[in-house]
Amino acid sequence: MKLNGKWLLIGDFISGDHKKSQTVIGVGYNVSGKLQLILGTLLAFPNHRLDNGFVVEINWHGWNFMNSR
Amino acid sequence: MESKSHLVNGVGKGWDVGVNFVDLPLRFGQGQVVLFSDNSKRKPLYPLLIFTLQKQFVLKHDKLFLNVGTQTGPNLSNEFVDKRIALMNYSLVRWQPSKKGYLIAGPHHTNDVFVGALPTHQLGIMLGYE
Repeated sequence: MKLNGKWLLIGDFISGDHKKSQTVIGVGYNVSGKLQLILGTLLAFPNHRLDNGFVVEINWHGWNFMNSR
Repeated sequence: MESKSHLVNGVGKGWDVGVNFVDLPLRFGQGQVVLFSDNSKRKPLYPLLIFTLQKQFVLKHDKLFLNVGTQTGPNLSNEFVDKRIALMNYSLVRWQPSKKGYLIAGPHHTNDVFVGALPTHQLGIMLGYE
């Protein structure tokens, strides 16, 4: 969800009771038209037996994604 | 720490293909940095070298899309006999109510090689917003 030209909110959820059953909530920053950084919290939900964590994601696009949105 | 690397490329007409090197555990300060598991009695197996194939269908111009895809491939191991196939198949509706972002939701099918839990095949849902 775009907050402004530079910042965005992201979220992901996978159901179940296994290794991938987690929730990520984070913020993204468009460094340039091709480079995006995302920092997020990795939550042990719905699988409470997993560990909470921290997500660092670096997205490099082969095109200028700011022109395509 | 766990590393996931994805290289996915659009090849036209809504198709994306790619390769993903995922579920690579890294541990620092205790000798062996890169961890792996190819013991099929203790799933999930890792790391995985899997391949992406996805097709996007436009349901309503600029508003509603359907993405159907798979991420499928083997775990890395020294012996071929220890390789198993991990898979994650999905069908996701992507709804873009405004230029601010979009919502994603849909079912997925995965297996124990990928997610490490019984039963062997599992169904679930995925939700997201970007």
